[in-house]
Amino acid sequence: MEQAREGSALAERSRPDLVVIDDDDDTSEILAEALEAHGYRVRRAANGRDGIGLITERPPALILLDLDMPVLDGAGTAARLMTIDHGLELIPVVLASGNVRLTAAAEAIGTPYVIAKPYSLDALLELVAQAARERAAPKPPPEVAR
Amino acid sequence: MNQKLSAIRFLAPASAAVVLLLSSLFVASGAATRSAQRETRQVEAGMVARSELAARIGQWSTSQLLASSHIAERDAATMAAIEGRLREARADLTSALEAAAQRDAADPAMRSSIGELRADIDAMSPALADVLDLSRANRDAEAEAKMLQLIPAFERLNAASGRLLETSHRDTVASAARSSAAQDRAMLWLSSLAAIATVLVAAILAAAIRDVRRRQEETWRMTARLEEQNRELDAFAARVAHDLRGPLSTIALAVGRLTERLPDERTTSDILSRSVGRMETLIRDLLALSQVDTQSPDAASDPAIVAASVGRDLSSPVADAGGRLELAVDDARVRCSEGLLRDVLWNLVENALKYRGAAPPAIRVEGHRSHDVYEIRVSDNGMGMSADDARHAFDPFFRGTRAPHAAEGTGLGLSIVKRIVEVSAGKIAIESRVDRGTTVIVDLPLATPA
Repeated sequence: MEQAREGSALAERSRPDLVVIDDDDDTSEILAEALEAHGYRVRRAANGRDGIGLITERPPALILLDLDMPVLDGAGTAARLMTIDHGLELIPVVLASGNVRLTAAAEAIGTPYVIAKPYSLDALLELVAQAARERAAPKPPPEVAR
Repeated sequence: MNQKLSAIRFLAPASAAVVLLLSSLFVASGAATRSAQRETRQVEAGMVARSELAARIGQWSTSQLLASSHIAERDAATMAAIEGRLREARADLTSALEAAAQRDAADPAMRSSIGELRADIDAMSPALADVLDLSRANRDAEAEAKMLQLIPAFERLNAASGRLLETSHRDTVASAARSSAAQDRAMLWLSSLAAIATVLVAAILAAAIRDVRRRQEETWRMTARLEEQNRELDAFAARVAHDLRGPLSTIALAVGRLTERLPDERTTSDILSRSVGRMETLIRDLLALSQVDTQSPDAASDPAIVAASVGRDLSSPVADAGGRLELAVDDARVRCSEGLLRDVLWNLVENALKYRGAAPPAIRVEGHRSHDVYEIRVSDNGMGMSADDARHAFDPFFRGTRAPHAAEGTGLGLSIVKRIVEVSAGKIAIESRVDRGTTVIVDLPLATPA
């Protein structure tokens, strides 16, 4: 965090921008802290609706999305991003959840970036780095696309 | 099972009652029929006797002609022969009358008519004797005159003979009517009892069917309720798993951050990481245990393919321990999904490796058809267990008293294996000897070919 604050304004803008959407405050806080320490800029939302607000306000480099959330869940959020269009559907989604149907949910959303809770920080950092590098957009199967 | 027993308990006495009823019905109707037959035979005998009597009387009436011939005859020898025939006819008639009197002693009408007949015949005898005396003396004119006086008596006899035949006929008709009525009664009895028996049988069957149906509906309701409870439990388990994984994930992330910021505390953070790992294993195993029941009833897999896959995944840890893993598994289709059969073999081979003895582990997985089941044996040369431990080996969270500290696990592995085998309608057994090794035998039903 200290390192992040010390960066120049230019460096600040070049850092990949992440939106973390997770209803568990402790999780999103530790995620934000850890990701910022590893060179990402992080904005946080506690549900899908607030997350979409942040995303439309300024599209991030990638989205770290939980599945089970109040107001609007992960699957609903991904679907909404698809319908909003405007390039938001091209933002890579990292799906991170403790849901027992995580694999099925990832297939429905069409993202290759999936990590099951509980995950280690190292594993998460690796996956986020991979997603930021490859930038594979979600591709829902035709029958699921809305 | 209980349904069948109840139906049998209910049907057995009812059926016995019906059989008893039917038997008595046949006995009773048989007796009625026999009684009717007996009466018919008696009436037939009487009828024959009366006809015979009538015939004798008819024969006696020919005495009129014999007497006339006697009057016309001049030859003494011929006359003597005629007299002989007259005597015979008289004797026959007398014995027929006696027989009839004896037989019909109980019938007052018959008794009196036989009495009258006797009196008539007795009255005729002296007159006839006179006719014959006059004829023998060749006083033919007198004899004929005497004979003429006898004619009304003969006519009365003929009339009596006619009456006898008439009575006999009337009796026969009445007897036939009585016999027919008796038979009708027997038939009526038989058919009404048959109807009652049919109604009883129908009532018993209806009650039995209602009973079975009620129990079946009860079973359906119970099954539906259990299925609903299973679904709820399944959803509950999934929910609990999710809710436990959330904070566990936060801990794992926090441990990761602490490790980065406090590299000197590596030992502590490693312990925390391992604990998180064990907790996740526990959650995964509990989830697996709660979701075993969701297997589709027509799931099937090939043990050879599953064993080969498990062998690929576990051969390197076995080799790392200096041991060897042998597979001798025949192709077949067993009634267990690929995923669950994989859990079974994985758990058993992993246990064999975990609980190895001093010698390098030698683990063998065999599988072949044995009669109508498929038998899988996973055996090792490991530390084995006592008979007491073996008895509890499948209990959830049970870990053998000889479990080494290094043997990490939740104590759920064998419980999961047992649940999977039972859900697949199979059987599981364990054979173990301390310091010799353990063999787990799994019998799975063969899948019916599609």
